[in-house]
Amino acid sequence: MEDLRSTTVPDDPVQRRDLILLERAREGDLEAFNDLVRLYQDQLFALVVRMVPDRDQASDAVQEAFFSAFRNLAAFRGGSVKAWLNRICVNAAMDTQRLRKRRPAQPYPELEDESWQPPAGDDADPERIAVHAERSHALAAAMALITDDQRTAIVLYDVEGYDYGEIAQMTGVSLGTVKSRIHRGRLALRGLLEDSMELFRG
Amino acid sequence: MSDPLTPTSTDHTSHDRLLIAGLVDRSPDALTPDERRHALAQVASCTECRSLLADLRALSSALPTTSTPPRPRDFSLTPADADRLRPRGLRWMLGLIGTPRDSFTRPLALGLTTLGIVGLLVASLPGALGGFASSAGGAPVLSAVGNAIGEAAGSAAPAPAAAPAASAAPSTANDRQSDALSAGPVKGQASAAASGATRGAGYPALSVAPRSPEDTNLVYGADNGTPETGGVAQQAPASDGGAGAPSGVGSDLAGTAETTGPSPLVIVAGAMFIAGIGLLLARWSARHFGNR
Repeated sequence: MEDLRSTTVPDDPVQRRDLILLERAREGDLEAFNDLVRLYQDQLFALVVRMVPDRDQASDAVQEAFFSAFRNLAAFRGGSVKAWLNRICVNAAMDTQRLRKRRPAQPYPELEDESWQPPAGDDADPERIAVHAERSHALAAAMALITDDQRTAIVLYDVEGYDYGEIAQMTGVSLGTVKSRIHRGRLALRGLLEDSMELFRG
Repeated sequence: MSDPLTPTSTDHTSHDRLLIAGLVDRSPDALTPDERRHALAQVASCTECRSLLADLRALSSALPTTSTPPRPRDFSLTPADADRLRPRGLRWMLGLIGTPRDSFTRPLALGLTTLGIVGLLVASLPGALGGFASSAGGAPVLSAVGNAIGEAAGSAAPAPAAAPAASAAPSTANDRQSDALSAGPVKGQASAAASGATRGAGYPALSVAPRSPEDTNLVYGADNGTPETGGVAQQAPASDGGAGAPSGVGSDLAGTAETTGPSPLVIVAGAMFIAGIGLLLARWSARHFGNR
């Protein structure tokens, strides 16, 4: 049966805008594709850098994902462009994880980088910002120490909001394995952060 | 009798911490009802399990809100990148297979596969149609088919002209068919005549020119019996179509079948089947890996 998702006009204006850009990109408009890149590169980098705890490798993975998306514009089958790009980035991140097993890198060498702090607004409380930054660093350091499989499952479930079935499909394992990775990963994180759990309580 | 899932020990080390981790999940499928009951009983009876659950929930809710390192560069593609990445030639064609724009490969693949399977089945059947599959038995059947074609030709042409084609192949099938259709001494002629008499004109695909020294070609095309020369058909003998003379379509087909190896039907059906399956596989892989 013909996939009709691409022929139906989505109600969501964001999806409609994305589909228009993607259609123009398919027709050879590079600027339309780069508009999509600029719209989603921050979100996608945040996703990949959580899965690949090395900024340079994560950056290469995201770039490769956009290359792959451009190469496969014709293969887009409708639905959400963001979900499509997410999926491509998850695959690129998992490829990078496999490479990292052969070429280990120092996780997050820039942990002390002040740029990790969220941008301060007018009403930003400096103390709150400091705690948030400390929490982010601690959690990122712990995430870098659990296994790639557990980290991927946790990021996809807790951060990206995918369900078990979607994660199982994306990672090519069974539903039970996904659950096990999430649960064991959480316990591992808690073990690693036992001394700094005060940052997260209350 | 005590419930085996109800924790009986207050010792935290004996408690199943994975069940506690499962309580954090938003999905109701995370734990079975029994596991959930067991986990809740642990939490209710054990302070450390309660603390563990609170910590796991705190971590789980903190994860989406934590900041990440800033993006180090812009990932926009340059025109040079685009030129390098843009699929061309065969890759472009393969890239289109299985996409929503591709509306013809699926019916084509299914059609080829079906025809291929049917052809292979027909070729493997024993009996009349199965004669195609057997090189030993192929010749008679093909001869009969050839004769049938010859008869069709005869129906649109003067009766004597069809004689060479109709009686061309020296086969038993030919004889049987001719015997059945004719009572005259020249089987081919009689056969063609009978065919013409019973069916009348109505087979436009094939016509046979009147037999004469200069008009002895079987010609595909016109159905009005007009002599045509220089056609693509086979040279027919000027004689009265004696047995064994290789002439007409029937004898050509018989000649092909007499060669060793698989019959043409098997080859064609096999090629169609392979092409159809190949196309289906290409579609499947395009759909499966296309979104990567």
